[in-house]
Amino acid sequence: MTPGLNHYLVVSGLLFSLGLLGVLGRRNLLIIYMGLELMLNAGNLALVSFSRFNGNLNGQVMVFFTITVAAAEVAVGLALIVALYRKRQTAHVEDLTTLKF
Amino acid sequence: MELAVGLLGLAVLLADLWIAPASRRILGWGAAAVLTCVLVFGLGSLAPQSGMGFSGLYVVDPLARFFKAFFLLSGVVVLLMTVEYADQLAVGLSEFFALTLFAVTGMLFAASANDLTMMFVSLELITVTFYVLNSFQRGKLASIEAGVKYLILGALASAFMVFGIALIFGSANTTQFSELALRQRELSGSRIFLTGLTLVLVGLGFKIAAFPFHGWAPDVYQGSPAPATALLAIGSKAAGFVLLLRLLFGAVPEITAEWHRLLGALAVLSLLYGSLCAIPQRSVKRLMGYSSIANAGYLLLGVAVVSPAGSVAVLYYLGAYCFAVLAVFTVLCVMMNSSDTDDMADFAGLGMRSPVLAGVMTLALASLAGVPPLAGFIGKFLILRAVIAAGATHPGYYGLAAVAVIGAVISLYYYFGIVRMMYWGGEPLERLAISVTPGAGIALLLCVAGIVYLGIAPNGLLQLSADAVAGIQPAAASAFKPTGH
Amino acid sequence: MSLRNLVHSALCLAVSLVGLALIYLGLDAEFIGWIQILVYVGAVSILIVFAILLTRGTEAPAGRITFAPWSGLIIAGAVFATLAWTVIKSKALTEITGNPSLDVSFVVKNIGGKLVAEYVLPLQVMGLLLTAALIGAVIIALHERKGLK
Repeated sequence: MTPGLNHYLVVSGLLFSLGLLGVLGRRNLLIIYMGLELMLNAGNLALVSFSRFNGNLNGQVMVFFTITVAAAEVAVGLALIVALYRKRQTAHVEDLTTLKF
Repeated sequence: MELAVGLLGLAVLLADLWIAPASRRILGWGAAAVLTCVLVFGLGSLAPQSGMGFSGLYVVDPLARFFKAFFLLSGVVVLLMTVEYADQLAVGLSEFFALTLFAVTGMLFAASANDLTMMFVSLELITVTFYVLNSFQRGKLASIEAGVKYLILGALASAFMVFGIALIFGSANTTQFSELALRQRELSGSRIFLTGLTLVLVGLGFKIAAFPFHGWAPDVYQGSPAPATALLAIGSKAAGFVLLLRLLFGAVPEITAEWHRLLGALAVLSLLYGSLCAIPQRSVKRLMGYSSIANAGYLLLGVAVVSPAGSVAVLYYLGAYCFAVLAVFTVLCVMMNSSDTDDMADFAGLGMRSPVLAGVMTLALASLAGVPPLAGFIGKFLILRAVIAAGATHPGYYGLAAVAVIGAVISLYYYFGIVRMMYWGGEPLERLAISVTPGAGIALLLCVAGIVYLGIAPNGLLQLSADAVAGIQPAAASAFKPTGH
Repeated sequence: MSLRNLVHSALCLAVSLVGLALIYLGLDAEFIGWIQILVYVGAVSILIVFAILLTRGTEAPAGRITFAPWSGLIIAGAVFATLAWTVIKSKALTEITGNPSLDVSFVVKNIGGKLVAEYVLPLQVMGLLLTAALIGAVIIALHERKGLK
């Protein structure tokens, strides 16, 4: 059986949910970033498979932009983590408590 | 015509290139001046035309022009504010100007986006710039934290948006708003399309800080440098709303008409949550964060009415909100130059220390709270009128109007907490008068003029808003009124 | 997502990204497939590993217990259920049986064409975005030293 559009979409839904799980459930900033990357990739997978099955290349162009955005986000994000780590010696969300009232 | 717009974007870019190498606050003046020129000439030259370009990705219509003027104006004031705030930033001042200009460019693109790809790309330009602007005060832990929090939630929002765009693209085989509008009847039956739309709306919800996705606003507002917060409060929110209007009324008006209940509920929740949480705040910036959630509630209320009157009210409200928030943050910048905190106690006795600043602050807060002769009152009044007018078809809207009034009363209380502190908060900690530099002076003057003018003579802006809405919403109006479920 | 060792999670992430790249190639999306390998596997994973190394210092390899309350699990599960249900239930999808495969040799060319014709504007915005990110990352990560001096 060749995989159809449904299968690809279920996989991408699974990736999306796993990423969301990582973002919501874990407390380490780096893992949260990885989860975010996974979610973005799930979107890309859906775009590529729709693009393939609809015979419309615009989806792939969109993926190109998404990948660029993701790379930029990771760069800024990791710079932030490193800066935070220098200040606080931590990469955990629980320690982000300066801004509470 | 596209050429003129392209030049407008390029001029912003050029201004940025020009200021990047040097590093003095004169550059801020220069950038603000150039931006003002762009505002005057750019908009003047492309005033009458409208149309689409770049194979439908990009649209110039009254709505786009309205928001372009809006963004350029706030860009100018924020730049002046940054000049005032320069001492607090220590290093990288010119980069701050450059990034502010980048963010404004992103907003200009967002105002004209007519395609999901364009929407995503311009929103990301705004967001990524703000990650940096928020965490710009490297020495301060709070600033970095604000950046990290904004980044996580912002990236989460983009992930939702990408997935939503993927689903919409998959079911409709197009990403253009105008093509979606043509096919919405068949699409509204597609579950994939509706799920995708929901996900995209979640992404936009983050940007405007509406209720279930508001978590970042207070923290980020408090931690970021004041000019960045001001731009975030106005630019990011307005960009979110222009895209929301385009998507909801430009692309899928019929689905929007069916979802008005959900929108109304979200509006009420953000309104109440923002207002109630703002009461006990001590930090003025944090208070503004909660008040921004409440204001997102008012604006969403205008959207939820699903009528042209509601959208006109939204645009007007944004205009009034813009001037008032800019004024508050300019005063904050001036204040923080001398004291470095934004605690409410610092405002004690400001009325004696610096009557002018206190006066401006009072005016701005009164406008935000909706005291009659000022701009904010007209904005709130228009939204309420639209809601009550819609109540004729759906009685539920009367309830919304009641909640809006309650919210306004609560906001009166917490805004006037600051005013009370300024005049009757006891003796000031130091008697020294606060000096106002020319830059901040101009910014304040602009804001005060805006607040008072919009309050006394609302017709000009009202006409502009009506023109802007007419471009996207006649269809929505006719599709909604006859059905009237 | 359940591993405690950060490096292991990063490696697993890289592996799944490679897997995705293979899926893209299988979907006739050559351009995207290779980009995926270059950008994600090549750059992003390396960046993440670097960040792990830079921030590890005080952290025990087997960090603290990591799963927060079950709420995260429940929300993610609900999202997945909705998505899967939507996908499986929707009839429109099964009707799309897939066009005869695109001519692969033209795909890359067409994407290039689209990028500089239809999508010039987003492309330029992307350029701006990358510039902004670059400036930002440099400022955030490097100024520290200047500040310390």
